[in-house]
Amino acid sequence: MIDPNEKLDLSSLDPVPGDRSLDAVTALLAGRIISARARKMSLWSTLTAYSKWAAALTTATAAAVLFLALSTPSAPAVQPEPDPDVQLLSWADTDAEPTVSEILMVLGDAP
Amino acid sequence: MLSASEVENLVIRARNGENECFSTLVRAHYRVAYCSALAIVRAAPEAEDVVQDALVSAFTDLESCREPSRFSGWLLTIVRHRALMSLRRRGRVRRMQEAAAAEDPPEPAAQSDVLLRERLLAAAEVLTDRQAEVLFLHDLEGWTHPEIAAVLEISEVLSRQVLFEARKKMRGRLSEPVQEVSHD
Repeated sequence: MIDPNEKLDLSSLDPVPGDRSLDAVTALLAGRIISARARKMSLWSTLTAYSKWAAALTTATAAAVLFLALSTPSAPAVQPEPDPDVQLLSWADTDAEPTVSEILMVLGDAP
Repeated sequence: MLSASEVENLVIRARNGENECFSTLVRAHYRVAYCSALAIVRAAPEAEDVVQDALVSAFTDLESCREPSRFSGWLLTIVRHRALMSLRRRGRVRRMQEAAAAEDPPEPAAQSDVLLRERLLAAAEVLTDRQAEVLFLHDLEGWTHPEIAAVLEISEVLSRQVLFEARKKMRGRLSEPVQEVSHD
């Protein structure tokens, strides 16, 4: 009668029988892992370096735009055109005589 | 086998650039990963390929292991995923080969000696993936039930039951006479 708790002999399935095989596989895989990580880190550092340059360039451009915007003299404020009715009433209320050009401007026929 | 805290410590050191830790971790997990892969793909060379690719991939992206204390379970999840992918790929290749063979039937293959490994793998065909994994981890890798239970996230009782069933099925299959292939 076979003891159901007895181990099955599966040693023939061992992919790396003995320490030497395991050492060889370990060395091979560790080498592949270290190279792959080095490549990954190299790619990452390149991307990081590029992103730093891109950030610096963006900051410099923004600063230049801001500087130009602040240093350029602003255009004189445009005076709103007077309401013709209000202007006519103000002439009627006062003794001041409007010039011809003022009259034409108020009536909308200014040259 | 390394303890969980030793594994955690090695993972943290490896992440910090101590390359010698990779060797220790690979050495400690190679056979375990192989057991998990073999339980799914049921072919030794394919299981080795799966394990090697999975180990390189997992260790290259070690930073994505959020809990270093559960590294072994994380690694075996990746191995199982890769094994399933390999199985699907094999299914596609086999379907293509069958389609090609239907058009141009090959010469019958010469009868080869039945190696013990092949016989064991053939017998393991009767096992579920879980039964095969527990059996390989216990009887091939020498893990205890608490260790298996922790990594596979099952109870120790279930681990014992699964192993009992797996051995029973395997012994039943192995006790059957080897079928001869006849070439009439």
